[in-house]
Amino acid sequence: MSRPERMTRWFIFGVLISLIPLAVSYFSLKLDRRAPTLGGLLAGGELLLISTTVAAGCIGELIPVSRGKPVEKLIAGGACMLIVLFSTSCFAAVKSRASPDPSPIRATSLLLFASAVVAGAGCVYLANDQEVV
Amino acid sequence: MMRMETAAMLVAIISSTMSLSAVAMSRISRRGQPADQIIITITDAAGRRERMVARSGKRAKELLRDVERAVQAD
Repeated sequence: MSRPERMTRWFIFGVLISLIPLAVSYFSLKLDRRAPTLGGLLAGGELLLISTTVAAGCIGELIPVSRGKPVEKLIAGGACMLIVLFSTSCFAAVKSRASPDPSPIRATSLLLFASAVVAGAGCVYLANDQEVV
Repeated sequence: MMRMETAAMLVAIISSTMSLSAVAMSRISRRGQPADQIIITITDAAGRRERMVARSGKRAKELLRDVERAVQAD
């Protein structure tokens, strides 16, 4: 599979499709005639879970074709692992609070999701790099 | 104590930098690699030796065509 094909497939099925639960929540709030806000949508930490899934999926992209460029792949995989660990810790922290403040959760979720997409794109880009023997 | 969003910002910066540098490193190392070479050495009956070097796929195809022509001519 060529690199643009792999990256497009990852972006559509790995990133956009994973945002569908949030889109469904948004539209169901609209259907209930309630005003959906970004803070309200992300207050439960759902985007943290989505970031974890996106980053973990990208680590998985690196594993089956690990020939060639081992150092670069280790760095990119490490970046995704960092996001997986931190997002999971944040989600656990959010869920352990009785009444969490939505503002820091929203900022944290958006930051981690954006970095998961950047780090994941790096992993998918490198996954296509195979050693020429 | 560090706030959650500050820590998230740090993690986001570190991970994005790591990923982008990994991609940059892969591109630099690719550019720095020596080009693949195809070397064809032909020796005729009189012992004369001709050496041809191709550093690109296009040149290699040209060389192959030349060699095929030379073989057919003989």
